[in-house]
Amino acid sequence: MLEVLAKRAGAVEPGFGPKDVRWAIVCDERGTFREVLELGDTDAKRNCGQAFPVCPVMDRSVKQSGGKSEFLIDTAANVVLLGVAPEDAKGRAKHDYFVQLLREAGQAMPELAGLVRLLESQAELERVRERFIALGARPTESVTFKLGNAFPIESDRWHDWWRGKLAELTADRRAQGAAAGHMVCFATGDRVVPLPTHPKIKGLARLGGQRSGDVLVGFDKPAFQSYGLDQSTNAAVSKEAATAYSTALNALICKSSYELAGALVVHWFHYRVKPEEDLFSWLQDPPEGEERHARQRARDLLDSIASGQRADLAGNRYYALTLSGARGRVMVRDWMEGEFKELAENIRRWFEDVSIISCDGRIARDPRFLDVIGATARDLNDVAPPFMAKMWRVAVRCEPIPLAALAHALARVKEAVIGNKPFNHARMGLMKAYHIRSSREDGGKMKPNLNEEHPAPAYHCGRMMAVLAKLQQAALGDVGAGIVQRYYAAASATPALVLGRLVRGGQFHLNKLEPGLAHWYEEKLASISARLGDGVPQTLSLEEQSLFALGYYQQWVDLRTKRSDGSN
Amino acid sequence: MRPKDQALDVWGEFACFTRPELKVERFSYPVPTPSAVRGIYDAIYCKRTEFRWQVTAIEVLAPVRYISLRRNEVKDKVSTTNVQQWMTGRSPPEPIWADGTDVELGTDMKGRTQRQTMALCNVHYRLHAEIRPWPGFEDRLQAMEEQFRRRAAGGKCIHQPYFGCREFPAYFDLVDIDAQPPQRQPLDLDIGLMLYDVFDLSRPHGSLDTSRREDPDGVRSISLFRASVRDGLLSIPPYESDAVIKAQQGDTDA
Repeated sequence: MLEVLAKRAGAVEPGFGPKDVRWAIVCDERGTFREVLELGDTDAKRNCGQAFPVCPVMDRSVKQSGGKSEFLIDTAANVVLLGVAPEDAKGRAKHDYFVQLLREAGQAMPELAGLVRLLESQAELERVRERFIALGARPTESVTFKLGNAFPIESDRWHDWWRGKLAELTADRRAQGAAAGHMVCFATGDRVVPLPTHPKIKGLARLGGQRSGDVLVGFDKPAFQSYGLDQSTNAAVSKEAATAYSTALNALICKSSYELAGALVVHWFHYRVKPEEDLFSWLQDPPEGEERHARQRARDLLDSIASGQRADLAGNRYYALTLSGARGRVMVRDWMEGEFKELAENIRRWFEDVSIISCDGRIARDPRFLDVIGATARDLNDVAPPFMAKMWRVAVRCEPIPLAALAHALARVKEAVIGNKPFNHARMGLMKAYHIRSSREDGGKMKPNLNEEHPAPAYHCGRMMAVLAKLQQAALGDVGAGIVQRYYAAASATPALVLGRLVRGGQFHLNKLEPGLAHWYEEKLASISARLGDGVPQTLSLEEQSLFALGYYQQWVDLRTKRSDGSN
Repeated sequence: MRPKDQALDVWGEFACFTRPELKVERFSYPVPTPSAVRGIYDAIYCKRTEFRWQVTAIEVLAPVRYISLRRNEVKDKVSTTNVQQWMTGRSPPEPIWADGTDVELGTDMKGRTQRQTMALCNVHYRLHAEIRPWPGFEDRLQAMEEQFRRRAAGGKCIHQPYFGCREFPAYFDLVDIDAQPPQRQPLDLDIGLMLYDVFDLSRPHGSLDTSRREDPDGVRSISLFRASVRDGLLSIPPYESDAVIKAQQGDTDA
């Protein structure tokens, strides 16, 4: 996993990396303060600032040694002492170090001398702070400088100076590492001096992580350190590889991730694909337009791969990582990789398996992944992250659907049927997909619409319940609590006890109908009874109860749409 | 005389072959590491001064399925110094604090913490390994193999074998030499760099204690290899081969 991420980053130099900056202190070429400028999309609800691809990144171990700050980009607290109390010696030391770095970098960029003068002038600093406060800036937000019309950070003249400075700062620690010996890098397989603490991964603050970032590889507690190894030497990774994997992961989280019920899903392809061919995004938001669009498009892609038209996709691979935060650590919930072709086939099967007839008699639109997950709970926020991660794997890897998902969906279906609430297509589709995936042989009998040839008695018990409910409605009209509200729960668990009684009661309803309609209902009930074979089952298991629910639903839609078509 | 293949069928409810880089919030490799398999064989029959086990292949007989577990774990380790002092009567025993807040214990490094484990569930493998006698014990190979087979057939073990973590027991059954090949899972995986072993397997060990930094077999012995499962079979290269990436080269005299 680290190896794939490190390769994804390509050539990344330690000490350099991308950063987002929220504010810029605008000065003229001589360093006279002009204005404070908000960068990025200022109209956005959550402005992340402007992205600068090549910024100086201070070695974490150096920064932790105390009194250190970054070069050219740092927090408003460190740059202009925003929110730092006069007696806060640590805060002032960091500010002084920031100024010192600018002064030293003046050898390479003489124009930085003006910034040093600005930051050393208490009166000017006060003016800058007042402006920050007026604009509502926070001490933790990032700040850089703009000299005239140019950002010094975008120049490459500081790069060589920064390389030398970084080497000087890390020289002692490298010597300590070399003394500890070389180990095999888990990301590259090379013999390296392992990095003791790894760079942080950002973007998991809302998922249990910290705003300042979380580490993917970190061993701070003694119980997690083995064989006399300290910190991250427990899984040796070189500084270069650690920089590469963290840069790649941070970029992916920033640009190619989405949140799913308490976890963050990150995915990428070995060779970049067009946005409209990103199969993972189809799960999030199936392509709109024609009916069964996602399935059809997946099939088209598979056909073009098989015919050789899309040889580029045939050799492509996908990678998917599910993450969440755990108070300073990144928690990996899942890791998947495979061929693009296999992914296309799995996505096609997912949409095909969850497809089901809608209440209007047509095949329902392909449901979003979150709709399917939300169908198992009262609220999407109630879904546990491990369950979400498992279902994500089910969709991507075409695995069987867990019984827990069926149990949750069934409970919601019962509640909806008894409460006379509308059916949720994603929920019914999930139950159908469970049966298709649990047994391809029997599951093949499960169709999106009514299947009168289905072998399971439980399915026909559900159908009978729907016909009896319709018969009662035809005979008596709206009676408030009908047989569905009163008997559905009992009939779906113990059909032999309930259905016989309901069929006997149905005879009275038949007498109230016109002869032709009564005859039609009699024939319908007789055909279903014939399918029940040896008799109505005494009790139904959880899986059989879901078949009962599917039989009820599909028969209910069938009766409803045939009537509206005028065929009844 | 060439060593014979010693095959074992092993199965269990859970397994966690932890990726070293994800060892705190544990995440399992999809298949056992050679070191975990060596541990299973060592649990049944082990004489470290006379021979070592060379794992040759792992066959995956059950689908790879992950399960998410959360457990309370202690943060601290037992201090060997304290235990030695207690053994000699110089100080009272000092327990590991298994509970308590940071305020009560005065530090964040003691007490308990909740950690995730992405483990495997319902695993079943057929393992293959050979006995490699150390120099001077080659003539005892047949006797060693017979002893192993007698012990494994009788269900004897030095301690209960386990799948990566001691809390995940492994049940085992000796495979007959004439047994039919098992039905493997149709599994193809490129796992990438995978842990081979944490110890230097090129020389006999009286002790596997690598905690001492001055021990040349210590921290620099962790080895990796490129793992690739084809049709449910993970072939393991011999430790001395170049396919095993070792921190120190040239110590392969086994």
